Amino acid sequence: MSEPEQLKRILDALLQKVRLDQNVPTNVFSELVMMKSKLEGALTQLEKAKQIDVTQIKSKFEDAQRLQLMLEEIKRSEGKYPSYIDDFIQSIANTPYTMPKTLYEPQGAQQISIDVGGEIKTERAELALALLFPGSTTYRYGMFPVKVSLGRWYQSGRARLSSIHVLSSEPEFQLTVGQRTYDVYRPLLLRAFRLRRHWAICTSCLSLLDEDETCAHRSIQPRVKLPSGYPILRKLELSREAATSKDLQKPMSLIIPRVTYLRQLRVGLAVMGFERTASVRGASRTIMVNYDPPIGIRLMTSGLSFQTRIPEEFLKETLQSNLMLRRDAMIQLLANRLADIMSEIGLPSYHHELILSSVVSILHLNELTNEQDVMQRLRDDDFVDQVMTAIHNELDFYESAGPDAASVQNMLRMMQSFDITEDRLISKLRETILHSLAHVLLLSAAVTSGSQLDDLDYLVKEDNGEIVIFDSVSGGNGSSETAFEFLSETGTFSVEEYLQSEEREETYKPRNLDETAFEFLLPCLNSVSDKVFLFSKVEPIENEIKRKMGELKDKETTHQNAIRRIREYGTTAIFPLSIGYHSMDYSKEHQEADRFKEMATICIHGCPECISIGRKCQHGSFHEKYNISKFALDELLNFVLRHVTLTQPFPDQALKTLGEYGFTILKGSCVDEHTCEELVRNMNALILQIVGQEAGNGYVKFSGHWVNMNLASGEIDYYYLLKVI
Amino acid sequence: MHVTQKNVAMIDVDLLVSECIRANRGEPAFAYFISPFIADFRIPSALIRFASNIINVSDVERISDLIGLLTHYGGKVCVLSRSPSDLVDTAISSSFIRRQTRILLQLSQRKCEIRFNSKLHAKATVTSQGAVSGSFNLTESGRFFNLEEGHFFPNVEGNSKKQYLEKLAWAKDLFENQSRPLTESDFKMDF
Repeated sequence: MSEPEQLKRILDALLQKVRLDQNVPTNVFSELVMMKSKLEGALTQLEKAKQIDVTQIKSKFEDAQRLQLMLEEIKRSEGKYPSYIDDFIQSIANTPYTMPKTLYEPQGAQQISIDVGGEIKTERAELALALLFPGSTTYRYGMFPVKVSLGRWYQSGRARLSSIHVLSSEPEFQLTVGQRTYDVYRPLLLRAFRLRRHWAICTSCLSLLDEDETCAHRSIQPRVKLPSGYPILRKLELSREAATSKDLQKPMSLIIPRVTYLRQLRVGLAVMGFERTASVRGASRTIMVNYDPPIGIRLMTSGLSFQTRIPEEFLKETLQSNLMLRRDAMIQLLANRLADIMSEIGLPSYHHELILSSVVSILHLNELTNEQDVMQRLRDDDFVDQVMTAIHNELDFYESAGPDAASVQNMLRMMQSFDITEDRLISKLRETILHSLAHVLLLSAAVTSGSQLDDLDYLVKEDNGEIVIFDSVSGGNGSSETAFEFLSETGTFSVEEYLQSEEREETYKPRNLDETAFEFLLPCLNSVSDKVFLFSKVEPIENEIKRKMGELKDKETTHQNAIRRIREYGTTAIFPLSIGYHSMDYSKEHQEADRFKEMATICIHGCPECISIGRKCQHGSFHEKYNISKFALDELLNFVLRHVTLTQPFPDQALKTLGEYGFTILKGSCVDEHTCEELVRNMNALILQIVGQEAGNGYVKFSGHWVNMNLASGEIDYYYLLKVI
Repeated sequence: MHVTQKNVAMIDVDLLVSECIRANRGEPAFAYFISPFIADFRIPSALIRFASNIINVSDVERISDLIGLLTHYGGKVCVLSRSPSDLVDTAISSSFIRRQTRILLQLSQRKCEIRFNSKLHAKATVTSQGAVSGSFNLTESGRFFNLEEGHFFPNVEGNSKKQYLEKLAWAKDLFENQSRPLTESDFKMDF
């Protein structure tokens, strides 16, 4: 019998006695009956309350609190103009809208063993290489962090893995990077250990001061938060089996005419090392560690092959006419050469930016200089000493003790023999564009298929201008196949065909891959806003630009010195200003240096809002900016569209171009608000006279509109795309 | 310009996208939809493809989405139609009346102003950029199936401007002075 039942029985007995007691008045008896009834009710409620799952209630209460916070955030957003509510709503959308992985959860086909202090765990191979690479830390195996062993690396920036982990006896495959060929070994067993509770990091090289790594710098900072790390991956196609192909529509087809679905694709996936990022005294720092030997596996997956078309005449003409792009290509060449030499001689990569910044300063690369002058300065007898002095001066802005002087001198002497030739510049520009296009296609494929970036990966084949986007897991996850399904449509429309088509009955279709990719090729709005804020006399009045400009204007007071200095340097110095602190010639204060750096990081060759993908980049986030160029993509787009772009258009002329090419672009430039208003009015009037009219085999449709800022003139350019559909 | 069922939907979409661009620039943007019969319909994907770094025309599937996008950007949308309750005792099918009710409710929720005139027979779409008027209702049949005819008057200098301004004045007058606002009873029907 339960306690309440026992109590009830006792109460009944007591009440019975009271009822028989003649000394008890009736009203007192009635009150006792009522109280008994109340007590019984309370006991029943108590029993029910005992059955309530406290954990569930707690979880629901937390959900309610979270929802309340979201609602408050929405209320705050509503008050702002323009509102960020759309961005916010997207970020809180439920699955599968933001978590398509649930649709394509990969199973994988290969396993790697992890020895965690004697306990063997088995993990999917791709996952192990992505998350459990040597040097990484994880909470995957319990409350205390586990670190995959790395060994000492600080002297050479290279971790020797064979003596720590169990690797395959024969290489899995060979991989050539630059001029070096690496044997890549399959990891059979990776050794790991639990980190001690109290641990620290070296503020010079970011070595973890544990029983595994440790360095001799003696600049120790106790830590609470573990540093983040990302593997540096390289991929290599081993074999393929192609299935069907599709043609893309204009204007995207001018750059990528054809796409082929690769039903079976064998890819070698190698981890060359990793990047570690940690916050040192408030500032974020990243270092890179190379593996010796690299580790990797072979993937059997599926993918898409994009055949690109980058005209040779474009490369030549652009390098001749666009001196800024030419100079930036020189800097990117030097940055890559510097990274190669540092890797060769074992100089840690965390000194790369410092050394490059000093080299840029001594070679006068803040200016639009030519390669003859650059090479003359490079070969100058004083070059090494000048760079060493510049490094010494710039070192004030860094936390680290500085690189080993003898190694740097050695490296700079090796740099002195580097030739910057026309062929090398052309080749570099082609590679950069190809690689930037690969980022565009990877992002577009992820958007179209509803996948996350980690679901896909890419390969760039510089020899034949091919880009391969593939599922990043053995057996595939359906992402590339879905992207291929939504690749492109004919782009035409006729009522007769539409009435008979199945499209009317279809459920919602996402944007096509080529449509999404074309939008990624349009000028980056973040870049436009930055450039307009710093250098233009015209302020476009489009909402999104106004919003971004508003954010920048908030910094006008605190960052005024930095803004003034950047304006003095002018538009041509945008890229070199973002490298190191060599341009910080007006203050020695760290806070001012950080402000300068923040303002000088203007999107010119890419940012996370356009084509920068950070750790997903095959060069790693550390060197990504020296291997991509949104600016070059903008130039390529202008080049391929130049024969259909009308700068002083009339309706007849536009209709003629539409009839001939199937599409046209109307372009107008303005130098002040008044001309902007007039331009937009005129363009609208022109479009209204053309839309809906018959041209070629169809009717004219208004199909696009974008804005850019011309760096050379400071003008705002408005573009209107018209197509025959 | 002469308009038929072959290009009217294209002009509709272009006019609305142009209004979104205007609204995004903070300029006055509006659209009057005058149609006795209204039903939501899918916009063919070829008509709605639009590449831009200024406005986002993605996730538009149906005409109601596009109208909603204009109100989202700050444009004013006025819809003049016939009340569903007025259609109950006519030969119009109950399923169509339900569809008309549904889209009017949707548009009302998207901050469009809805008004009714029981004698309405005229059909037009008028924005700050131009006016389309003719035989077509704002329905899938009116835009694609039926043989329809009408004219497009862009708001540009010349003859067209005069005709556009006449259409605009007519639409405004019809909406503001010759119609009544939506009430709860408009959606109370007993089939």
